[in-house]
Amino acid sequence: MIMMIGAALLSGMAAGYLFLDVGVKDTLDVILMTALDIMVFIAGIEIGSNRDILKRVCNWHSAVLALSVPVAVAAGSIGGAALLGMAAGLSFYDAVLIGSGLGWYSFSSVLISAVYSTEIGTVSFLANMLRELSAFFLIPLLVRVHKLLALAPSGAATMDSGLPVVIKYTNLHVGMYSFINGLVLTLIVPVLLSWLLSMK
Amino acid sequence: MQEIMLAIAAGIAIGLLNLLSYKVKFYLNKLSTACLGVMLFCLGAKIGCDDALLAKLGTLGVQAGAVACGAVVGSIACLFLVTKFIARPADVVAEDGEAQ
Repeated sequence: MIMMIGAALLSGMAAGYLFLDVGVKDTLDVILMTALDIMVFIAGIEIGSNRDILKRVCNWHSAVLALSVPVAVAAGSIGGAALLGMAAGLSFYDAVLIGSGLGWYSFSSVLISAVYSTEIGTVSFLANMLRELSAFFLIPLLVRVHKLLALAPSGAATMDSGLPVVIKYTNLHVGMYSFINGLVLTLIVPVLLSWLLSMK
Repeated sequence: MQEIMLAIAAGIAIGLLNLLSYKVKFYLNKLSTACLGVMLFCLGAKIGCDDALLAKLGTLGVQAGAVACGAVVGSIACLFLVTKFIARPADVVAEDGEAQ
């Protein structure tokens, strides 16, 4: 699986560099979103087909766990981004701003570029995209320690592009936590970024 | 984001109604893997075809890499604490009894 992921990404980069120009980006976006919709639709079928899993998440302990996961991912993302971002020469504010994208690179980079700085918006795009890409390689390794750790690298993407990968390497029960984690983080990002940008 | 939410809601609804046979679900799983390949290929192509982005990868890549690394390591560290103090072994057990 890891080999397929690496091969698909690298061959895409090579094909893009050698044969395509920027004008095809919109077409690529359409294909990308269509593939993503199909994957998420199939993940939804798998979740819905397992009613027992839905029942298993509907209790106090599971609810606490389901909310603890996104809180931990958000706190760790922002804290870690601030520490290493400052070490790489970014200001504390910029590092926290980029970390607050929580893996949602399309939204955070556009908002930061439009409201604050194009340069920081670009760093945000690259950082959050690298984060999402790293998830494809880290998830197979992290699940060997604990299956819930599969939810850490993707951030907000655990409800869409990361969800099928999480389910493939764990199970549908963890997939439910993955979806809830992505949903909560996706709700947090616009509020968090708007608040941070209003402070500047 | 709306179409993503619609796609997962429609998928869950179809799954709950139990409309699909095991064989169809087996082929849907294969289709999901193929879509993952297509998605990553397109993501790579988007990066590869954009000369400006490729040039920026060099200059801003170090800072972006540092932030990404910090965010991922920080998330793993904090989530590890959750797995130690809140999660129970039963929370990650599969339907077929596969244990963590």
